[in-house]
Amino acid sequence: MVALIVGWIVALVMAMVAVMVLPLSIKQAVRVGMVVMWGGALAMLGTALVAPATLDSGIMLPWSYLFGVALEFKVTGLSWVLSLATLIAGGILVGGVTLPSRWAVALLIWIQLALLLVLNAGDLLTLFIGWEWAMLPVYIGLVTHGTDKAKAMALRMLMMMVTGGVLFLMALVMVWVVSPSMTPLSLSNGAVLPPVMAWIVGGLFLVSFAIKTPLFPFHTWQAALYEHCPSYCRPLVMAVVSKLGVWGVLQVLPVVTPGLGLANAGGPVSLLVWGLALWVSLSALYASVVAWGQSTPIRALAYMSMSHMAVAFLGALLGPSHGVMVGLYLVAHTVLVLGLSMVIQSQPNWNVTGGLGGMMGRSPWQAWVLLVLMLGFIGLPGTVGFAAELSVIVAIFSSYPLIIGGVILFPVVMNAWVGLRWLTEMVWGQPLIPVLKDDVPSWWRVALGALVVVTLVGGLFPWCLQRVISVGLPLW
Amino acid sequence: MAQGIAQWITWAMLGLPLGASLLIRWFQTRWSVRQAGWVAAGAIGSSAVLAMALVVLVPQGVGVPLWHWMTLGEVSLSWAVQWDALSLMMAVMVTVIATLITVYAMGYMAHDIRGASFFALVSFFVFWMLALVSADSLLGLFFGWEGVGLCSFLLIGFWHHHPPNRWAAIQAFVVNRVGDLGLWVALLVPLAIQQPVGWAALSAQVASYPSLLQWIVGMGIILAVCGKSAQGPLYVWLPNAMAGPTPVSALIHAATMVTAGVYLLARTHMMMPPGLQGVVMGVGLGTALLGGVLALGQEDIKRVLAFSTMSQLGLMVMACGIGAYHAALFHMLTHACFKALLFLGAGSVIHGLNGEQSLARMGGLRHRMPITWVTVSVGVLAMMGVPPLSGFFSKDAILMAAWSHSMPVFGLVVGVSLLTACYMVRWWWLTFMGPSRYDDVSHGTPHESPWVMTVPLMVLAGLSVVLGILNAPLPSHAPLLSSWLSPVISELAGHHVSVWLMALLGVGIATLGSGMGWLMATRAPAMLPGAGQQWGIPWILACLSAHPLRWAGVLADRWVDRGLIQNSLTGVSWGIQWVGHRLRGLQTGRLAGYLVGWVLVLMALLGSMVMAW
Repeated sequence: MVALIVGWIVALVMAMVAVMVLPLSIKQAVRVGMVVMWGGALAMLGTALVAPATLDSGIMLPWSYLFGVALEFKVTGLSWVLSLATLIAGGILVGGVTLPSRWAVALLIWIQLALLLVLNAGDLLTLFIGWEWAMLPVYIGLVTHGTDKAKAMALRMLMMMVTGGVLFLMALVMVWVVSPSMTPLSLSNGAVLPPVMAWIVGGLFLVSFAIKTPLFPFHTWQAALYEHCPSYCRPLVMAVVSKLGVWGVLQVLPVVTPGLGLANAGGPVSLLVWGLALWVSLSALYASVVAWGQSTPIRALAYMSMSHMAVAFLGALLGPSHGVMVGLYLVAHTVLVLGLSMVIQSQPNWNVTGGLGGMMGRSPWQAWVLLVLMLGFIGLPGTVGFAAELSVIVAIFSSYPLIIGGVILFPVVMNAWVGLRWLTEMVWGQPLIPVLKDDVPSWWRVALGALVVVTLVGGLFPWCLQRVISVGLPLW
Repeated sequence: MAQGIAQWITWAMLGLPLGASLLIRWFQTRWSVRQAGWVAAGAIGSSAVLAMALVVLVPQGVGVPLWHWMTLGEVSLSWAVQWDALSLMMAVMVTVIATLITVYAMGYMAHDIRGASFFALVSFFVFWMLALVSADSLLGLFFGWEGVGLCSFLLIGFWHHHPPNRWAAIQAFVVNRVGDLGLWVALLVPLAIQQPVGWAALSAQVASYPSLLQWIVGMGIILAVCGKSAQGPLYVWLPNAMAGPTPVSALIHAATMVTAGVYLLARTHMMMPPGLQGVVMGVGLGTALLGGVLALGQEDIKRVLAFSTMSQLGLMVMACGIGAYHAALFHMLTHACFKALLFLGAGSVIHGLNGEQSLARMGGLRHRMPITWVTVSVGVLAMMGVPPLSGFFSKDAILMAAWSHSMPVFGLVVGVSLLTACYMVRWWWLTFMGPSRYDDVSHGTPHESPWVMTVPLMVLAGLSVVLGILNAPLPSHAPLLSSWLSPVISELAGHHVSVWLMALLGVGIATLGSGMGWLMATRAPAMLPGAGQQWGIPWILACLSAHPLRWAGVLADRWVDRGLIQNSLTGVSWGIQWVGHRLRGLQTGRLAGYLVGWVLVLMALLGSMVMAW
């Protein structure tokens, strides 16, 4: 499996170059994009079915030494699920959204390969490379295909990303000094950082991941990004790119700074960990409160996502033993946000205040999809959102003081309120601007239907997802 | 053998309403309201028959495992159904009432162009309600709990073209969610310490928790009860939920879903620390009184019944608080029948008056709608506790338990009973008696409802008459329902008072209350100024919760996110620009200057190396 993914990353690079260099028409570029993305998804799916044992595999590229570090890849059940979702979503977006030029296809492929790098990185350097690459195409897309507002916003985003990247790099250099191989595995096997250094490195990583997640006060770029992002990459950014912060915590922090997971260690460590937990949980609360003040559903969704991701962040801090629970949360959130963003942005006037409404009359099928996905998003039992939320909140309740658990529960109500407000407005309300019946391709409906099926099946039989995700976990 | 049969029956019982819901949803554009209604009624009715079959086949109860759900740490969570006296009683009650209401709705919704989808939602609701009552664990109950909440949301907002209905739907869901926080807590505490959440395990474990945890779990359950059963400050959603179609008000907001809180209290009675029983009693009693008083001041035919439901639920919660679980459950059963009857009767009146809901424009309908009048009168008498109707027996049981508990509590329960008789007679008089106040032009000629609506009224009236026998204190037999429920839930309250004395008192209360109600209806129908707006209670609650949160959201977005943080970022970029602008002065283009700079830097580096060496 890992060889397949590495091979597919190479294929994506070639496809990207081909789309950029060759004089292809936009239709041809779209076809290339769809083939390379859905082909990858099919290959991954097929390999997993034929050889499920390969879901837990790693590889070191012998020709890829960089600063004495070999690029390594490692696949787990969780990274496989997220990679699969990324490729499928990419294919849907390439084929289903009106693209401004073939460059947009190239940018989408670029995001895909960066995400595959991040999700399947076996060492910190590979992770960093993917990490930095993932936001660049979004920035370029914003600058080339966005409005003036989008360009201003892109600069703000870039500033935050660069800050996060620099912190990541500093931490990376410090790790390199102790463990040149830079694999978390080697760190967990004895090349432990000295205690003071471990906390400094942990702090640097932590802030870097907090920017990406994002947590308060590093969060203002995200809502603006969701709002202004070109429509061909918005769902991908919302569904997958925004998970990278938590992904980083899950992959790196517990092994670099094991103390962060020791909520019950006592003394100053506990104090620090509780302080951190309080910050993260208040971030979740803050985001869910600010979600109320939003005037468009995408912005509201952005803040609700922030709130959810803060909860996942807190769960991920607890360490590898809770990896499966956080993994389930990430997968559930990816599925739900992907579907929600696809439905919302396919509506006319979606980004105009008061412009949405009347979906039940105009497009009942999409209205029902929105209903199910939103209910999943607010954690209604019977959906994958609830199973995921329950598993992470149980982990938080069992490890942190009760007050943290209490704070984390409030966003559950707040998000339900905001989610329902937008749901009723979009599905049942009257649009201020009259619109015709919308017309989406049938395979777009199939894609959305598949997401609904995952939402419901994952809610009724979450053990299936747990079983896949738990392959190869805990990581170290 | 019994378990095998029970498993098949369980699958069928749960699957029929769910299947009907999906089927109707699929064919909703092709099926008429009648067709959809018959499919739903057939499925729910079959579930009712199956529930009764279970009562006969496995009266002592049986557990039915379904499937593994997920693993949380070391706790394996599975779906399973637990049939015992409590869950079977609830299942029979829910399915029988739901069948009758579904039949009724075929007439009520006949002219609604989306009527077919209404039946899909009703069937869906019945599925979730059955899942709730049959769950063998707190987690399973939570699924049903949220599922019925969702159906309630969808059905309150069924006529969503009216913005207030949409708002009422959201309010109902969100207030319920506030209550659900309590259930979350009650669920999370055992899961966090890696213990199973089945009823049997919970009952055994919670007693061994530290007292703080016991209190947290107990308070969580009370909060959940307040949300679902419209108790305490969380009652606000129930009156507004009357925006939904009347059969929904009858089914969900009177007979079944709102009683889930009482069911939860009964089911988790072993988890409630003794110190919190007083809180339960206080919440119930307070709500019962508030609901009773507010019901007196309402002008809308359905809102009177909504406040009445709130009041009666308060009585049931109070009864649980004093340990009279059997009395509470018995009253829940009888109340489900006569309150459904009253709501359906109100619906029949609304139907006959072209949608009119104001009591001020009714009156004198007894001649125009004789069947509705007679059946509703039975419901009113049952609710007032007039012998030998069912309400007499169930309310008497609560009175007896209150008497045994303490005199102040008994006095307050008598007050609630007095209020009940008073507002019910006022409501009944303003609707059916006295001179007619409707307008033949705008309301059309009032007429009796079709048979499809009146037959369920008659059946419910019959049940309201005879159901009391289920737990009547007969001389030679122990009360039937109590004997059946005893293995599952023991009655903690003692009844040390003469049955006849209580009966006499009940009759006296009903008579006095009816007199007061008649006086109010004929002399001062608009008494209690401000009660229509609930004396601003919802507004005060909104000012304490929703409004500050909404403003906090708006202000945080405006001042913190778009103001402070973004301006800080802009400030940083300006700062960098400023520094760059200043440093530009160093770029003179003179080679000599650059060389001096280099030399200075080199000297500094060398100096630092020498110092370090």
